[in-house]
Amino acid sequence: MIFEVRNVSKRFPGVQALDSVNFVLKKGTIHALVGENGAGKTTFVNIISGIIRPDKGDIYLKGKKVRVNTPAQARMLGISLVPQILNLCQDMTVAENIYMGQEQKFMHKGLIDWKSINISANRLLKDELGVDIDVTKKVMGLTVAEQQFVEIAKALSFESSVLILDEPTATLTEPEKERLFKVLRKLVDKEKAIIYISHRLDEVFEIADIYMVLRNGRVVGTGSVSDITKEKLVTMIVGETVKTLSRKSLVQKPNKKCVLEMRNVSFDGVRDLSFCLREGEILGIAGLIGSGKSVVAHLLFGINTPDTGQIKIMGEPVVLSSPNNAMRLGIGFVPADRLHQAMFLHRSVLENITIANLKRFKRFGLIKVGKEKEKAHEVSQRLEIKMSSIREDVMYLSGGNQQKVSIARWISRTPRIIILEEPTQGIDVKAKAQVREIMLSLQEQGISVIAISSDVDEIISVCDRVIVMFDGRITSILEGGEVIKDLVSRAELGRYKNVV
Amino acid sequence: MWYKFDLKDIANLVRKSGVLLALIALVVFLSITSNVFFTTHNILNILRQVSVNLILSIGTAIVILTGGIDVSIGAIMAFSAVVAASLMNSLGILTASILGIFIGLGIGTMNGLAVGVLGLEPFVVTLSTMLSIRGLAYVYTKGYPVSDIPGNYAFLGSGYVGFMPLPILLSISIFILALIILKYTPFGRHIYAIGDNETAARLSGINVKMTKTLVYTINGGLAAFAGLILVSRLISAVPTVGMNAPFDAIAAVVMGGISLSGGKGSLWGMLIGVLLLGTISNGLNLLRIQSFWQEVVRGIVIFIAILIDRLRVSKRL
Repeated sequence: MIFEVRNVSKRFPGVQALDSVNFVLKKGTIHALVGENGAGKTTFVNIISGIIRPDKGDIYLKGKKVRVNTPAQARMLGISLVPQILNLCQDMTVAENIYMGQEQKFMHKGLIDWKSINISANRLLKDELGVDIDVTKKVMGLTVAEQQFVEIAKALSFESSVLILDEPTATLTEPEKERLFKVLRKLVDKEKAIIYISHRLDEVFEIADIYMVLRNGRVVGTGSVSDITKEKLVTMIVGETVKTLSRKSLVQKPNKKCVLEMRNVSFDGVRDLSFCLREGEILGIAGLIGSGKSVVAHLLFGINTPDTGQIKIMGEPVVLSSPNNAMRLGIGFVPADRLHQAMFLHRSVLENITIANLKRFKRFGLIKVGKEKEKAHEVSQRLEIKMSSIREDVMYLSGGNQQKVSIARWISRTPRIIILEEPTQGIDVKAKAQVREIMLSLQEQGISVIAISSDVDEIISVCDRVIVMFDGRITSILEGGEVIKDLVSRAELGRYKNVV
Repeated sequence: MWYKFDLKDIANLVRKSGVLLALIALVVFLSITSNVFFTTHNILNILRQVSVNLILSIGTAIVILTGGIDVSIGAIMAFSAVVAASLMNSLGILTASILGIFIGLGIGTMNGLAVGVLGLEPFVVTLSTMLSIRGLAYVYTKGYPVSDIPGNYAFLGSGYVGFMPLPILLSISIFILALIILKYTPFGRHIYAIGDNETAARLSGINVKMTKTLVYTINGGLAAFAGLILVSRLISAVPTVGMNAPFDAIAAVVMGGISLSGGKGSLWGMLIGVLLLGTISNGLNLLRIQSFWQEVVRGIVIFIAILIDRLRVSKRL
């Protein structure tokens, strides 16, 4: 046993965030920490990495009681956090980032010896992690996965024995995830202990040895991953039974007409896109990061305009020149990057919901607040948004509820088409299921949905048809029973073409 | 329904604002140490003195709420005032005043287009506006004050409606109008939304360029109007008028809890900031403190007020 937490409790105003949590971490193991948003995972991680102090409880490292009052102290003790939102300096090189703040180790005649920093960084990445990244390259040019490796290398540069990874796969694609897991296994071989936080339970079963489930600040279960089933784990996490996650809805509606159509559209690396969104269907777009799948959303919402080709809505050719223009034509867009592209964090739930729809409540130039509130209430009840009041700032909501607010913004306009980009990214199991339910209910109302996702499970569970993109092109359009996981993954990699 | 929102804002202010605390403390202190301070005459006097800064602070607040900044309002005040003042005898008071306001709106629009449409840095844009427009005011007047102003123009700055000085009525009306616009019009919501998250605002269909431009236009117009009031009170338009104006306004706005990064804060806080600054000047005069020292004290009080705010906020986290 390398690391132990005994009886840790933490109270925030109005909520017991952690309640007598005990936790034991062994050398050379991966310990998965799971739970819904608000279950206390982040508080727990913040306590052991020195960001906040517990009200009660002790931390032991290698059998000795230690104090972890600041992140720097945690690092000195060998506890390092790889945060969910990576904090690298984009304009500096990989090596500079890894050894930031430790330059004094490489002083030569009063100056920094960059050559030995580079050598050292290279050794860390190659030998310890087994990844090949040019350490003299700026971080800016790296993929998210590579940046994560840099963060891990940075943690290792402090001789850390305990690594905490917070949602490391949230923005990774399947092959990138595999690469990360390879790195993690290598670290385990080197006797490191890893705390792994994830919403994706498949990953827990794939990579972790031990699980611990938190709910409302309490440990509700812990044990060996090999002794538990996924269903049991889900029940432990949510504390109640949720509707089964994968509803095979694969209904074929070939006779419906096209609400939206792209014909030979090309733009910036995306070439020759042609497809049709049928009325009332959920059309999935799958593909790797960089495959062009998010460009499709940008083209359809008027963020970019195509260089060549045509977009038709209800059979009429249209020019989508701005988001405002796309909205007027009945399109709504729920972007992937909730925090940066959708949420007004310091505004109320109410204002966040109605912001794209204020015209509807206007009379004599003024917003009729009664009507506005009524509408916001109606939509937020329909989507089961959990909040203390509709006037609560959206920043206090959990990720899942923020995502619902983002969807509510468009539902309140009753659009014809909704485009959702990574609709369930970084939200907990229960919220994921709810968002999928919402997508299905949109379909029932006759709204056509485009779901762009790197989560293959998600695509399978909700989509009627799936477009697979690779390297800026549509490689296949899968329909009905063809949509099986293996096929999608393989088509994603571009090995399969023209499957239909 | 309407007043309910603002009650909540005000309640928040009372609970959180160190600036309000400072204002109350100052009022109590001055009431004890000076027997003239807490009289109707003196209070109205303070209100009249702050009315110009109140108008300027409203414009500055909406600019800052979008995440921008405008340091050119002092120059706009000066230029539009000297032009309007010099033309009052030939064009008539009303026409010249309206012309002055249009000059302000025009310069503001140029700021707005540079920031909103060209996407330039607001501080740099308005800094260059400040320099060149202030320069134009000097060029136009050759550095001399314009004092050939019709006598009845004094009404705007020194007149009364009943017992109430006109500038107070005007500035309070603008304040109320601004409150309504910010809370109950799409334009006001858009201002907050842009300051909070510009990308999200664009993706919510908000015309970010136009909203940003308009905000500077309005600020220019308000600056010109404030300039007209000031000229009327002094019955003279000097090209150096309003040198400190943008900084007094920014101080009031920031003390009122409106974040310089935009999207956060209400005009009520700003009002307290304006009142605190005015009360300080008035109090220092009553206590017969030399005017050079007054500047020093004002700087220190602003610092202490925002420090108290900060300490109170961080304790809550």
